[in-house]
Amino acid sequence: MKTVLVCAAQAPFVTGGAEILVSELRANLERRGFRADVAAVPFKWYPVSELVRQALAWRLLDVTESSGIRVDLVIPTKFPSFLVRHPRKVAWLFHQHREAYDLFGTPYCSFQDTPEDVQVRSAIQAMDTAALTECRAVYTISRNVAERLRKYNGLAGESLYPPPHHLGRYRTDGYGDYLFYAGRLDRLKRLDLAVDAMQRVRSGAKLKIAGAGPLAEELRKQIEGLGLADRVELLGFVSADELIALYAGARAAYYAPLNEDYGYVTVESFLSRKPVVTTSDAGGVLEFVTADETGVIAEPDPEAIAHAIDTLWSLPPSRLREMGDAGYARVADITWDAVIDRLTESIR
Amino acid sequence: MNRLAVWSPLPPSPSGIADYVAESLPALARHFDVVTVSEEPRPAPEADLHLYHLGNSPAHGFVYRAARARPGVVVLHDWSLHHLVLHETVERGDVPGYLREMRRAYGETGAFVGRQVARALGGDLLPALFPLNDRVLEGSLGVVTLSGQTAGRVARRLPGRPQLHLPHHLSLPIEPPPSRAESRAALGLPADAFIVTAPGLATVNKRLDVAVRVMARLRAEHPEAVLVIAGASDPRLPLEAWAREAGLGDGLRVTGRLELADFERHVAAADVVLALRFPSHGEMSGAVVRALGVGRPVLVSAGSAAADEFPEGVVVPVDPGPREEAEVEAFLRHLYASPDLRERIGVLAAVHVRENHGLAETASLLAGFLHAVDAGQKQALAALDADRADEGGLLGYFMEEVRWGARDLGLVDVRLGLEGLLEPLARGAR
Repeated sequence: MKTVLVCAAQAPFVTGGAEILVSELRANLERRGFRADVAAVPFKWYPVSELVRQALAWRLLDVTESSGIRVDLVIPTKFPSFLVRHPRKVAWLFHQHREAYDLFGTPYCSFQDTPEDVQVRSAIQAMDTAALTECRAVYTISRNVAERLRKYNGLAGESLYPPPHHLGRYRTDGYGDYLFYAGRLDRLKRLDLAVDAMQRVRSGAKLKIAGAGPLAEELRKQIEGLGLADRVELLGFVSADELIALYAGARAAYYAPLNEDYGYVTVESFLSRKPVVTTSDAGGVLEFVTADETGVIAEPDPEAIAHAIDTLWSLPPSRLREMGDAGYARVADITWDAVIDRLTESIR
Repeated sequence: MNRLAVWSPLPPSPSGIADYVAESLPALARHFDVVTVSEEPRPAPEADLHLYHLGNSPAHGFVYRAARARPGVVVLHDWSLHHLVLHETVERGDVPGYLREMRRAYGETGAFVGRQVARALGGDLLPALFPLNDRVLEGSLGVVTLSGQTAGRVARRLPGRPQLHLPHHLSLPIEPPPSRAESRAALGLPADAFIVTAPGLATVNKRLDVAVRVMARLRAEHPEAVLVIAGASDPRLPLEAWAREAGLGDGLRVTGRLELADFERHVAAADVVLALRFPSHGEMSGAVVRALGVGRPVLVSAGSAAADEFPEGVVVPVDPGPREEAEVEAFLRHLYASPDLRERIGVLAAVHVRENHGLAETASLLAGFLHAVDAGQKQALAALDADRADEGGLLGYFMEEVRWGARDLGLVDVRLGLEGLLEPLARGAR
């Protein structure tokens, strides 16, 4: 039995999409007959000055064997786990430390324009380049992540889309009167933009937001301040059954993060045969959403998004179903077997 | 080993360390062929071993740079080198370099404190608490300290590194010392005054505001009481204003910088010597040794290197806390009233210093240590070279980041084998 070690950087007490994905990767490796385990090293991304030290912890580990058992393959996932040393390293890159790359210089970045932070940024870029060069292959969870890797590190990566958590359970119950978002409530998801847009829509569309995160309170205040409490609903954390039901009953999904790595919302929405409302700068989302075929794409401002929502609300259910079907076809081949086949190619 | 390079400022540099080194050179020359380096050399002299005298002042900048570039034996006159490192970095416009040093030594807290100090915030206490001496100590072949307090700190920081606790030598230009009466006559000081002398450069941490207030109160009752500051004064120190506010008036005399002979006369002319210091940077005061050597009672701050170095009874420790002023006043009043007690303490002090701090003896002690260090120099240099990389490069940055964890555990001399692990990562720089 071949052994595979999945390497994960984890913020203790925080479970998000990456942690779920790592756990499912391990489960699916085992399902396919591999002996698999996860090595997780805590990661704290602040202050900026500590980042390099945190990252280098991975470099000091010897994961070639464990208790006399040879590790045949390691699969690092996100920064900085790919700094790990192993003769057979195949990365499945969820994302790099984006503040050192595309988010640098944006309001979403904590790096300052100081020599210390510039040094940290250069060091991260250098060690990413070197460590990923050591890999037998580099797969990314989206073309967008691969494109960043090419742009900033000069390295080629091949996209390998991860299936969503409830693959096989998504369904369609028709096309209701609400837009649906599910995911973490943080600044990069730009739900504030959606709430602003909801103030401008004329069609009576509603918005249901499922999930928790640091922006929950801010969003609640924004909704109340704009008098939208009857049309915009914060649902908080929802169960798997509720999530699937909410997708199933929605008219469409809303997903407009800034330059997103991948975006499960899109895939889940398409598997529920629902179109997606997004923006022209949403990154990985745009690998799936084609304007007027599988969804609508607006400029990232409230007025344009409101217009896009109204457009979608003006369509008959038959047209929405056509768009949903096209979306479904677009993601139908995203399977765990395809992922495991590629990642383990070198040891099968 | 024969040729020894001694790096230090020398007279007329306005530094007590310059005087100390100049005094020790003739005794050291009986053991080695000594070449002195008292300013930035081009090129550095050839020598079998380099001896670096480091103090916490800009005058030692060239010594600091040399000690980092070329391992040798470091004589640590001050535990804290913070002001020196500030001078080498911030005052030369290199704030990032200073912050790197603070972070290297003290991690995230160091970076935070460094940002305040770089903006001249936080007063003198922060530099005293963050001594920034790790880099020169870690890069040394051996360390010489002039106080037991500093020796203990070095031993904890660098377990296993050759180390010598060298008593600060006594050197008096006039030997035997002049009497109190002779000294006062020579200096024009009143023969019947009660003279309290604060020796050396007057700086903010010598607690002279306390001294001024106490002496003003004493003088109100005893008009013959005089406070003499035997040395130059930091121009930022408002001595005259303090004296005016306290009503000390012409009971305060500031001599300005003195030649060594007059300096000795001033401590000999004193009834009591006041050598308070807070915060202490771990420095051993040559002025205190001289004052003790001429047999005068010396008040020092408890917890300072001088208080720890000399047995109680030889020096008089004063608590630098909230009771400091009351304690100083009580001691001075008691000593004023008891000429016999002053005399007995003075005799104890002179005997102790002459038995334990002789110049020839301390030079022999140092020479023996230097020979021992030289005998192991080849292996020590090889150990220092391991795991070192160009500090300015990416590999050096990575290695320092990892070595921090080892340093924090006191594993300064443990070879971590980092270069092989980290060098491939550093190659990613484009």
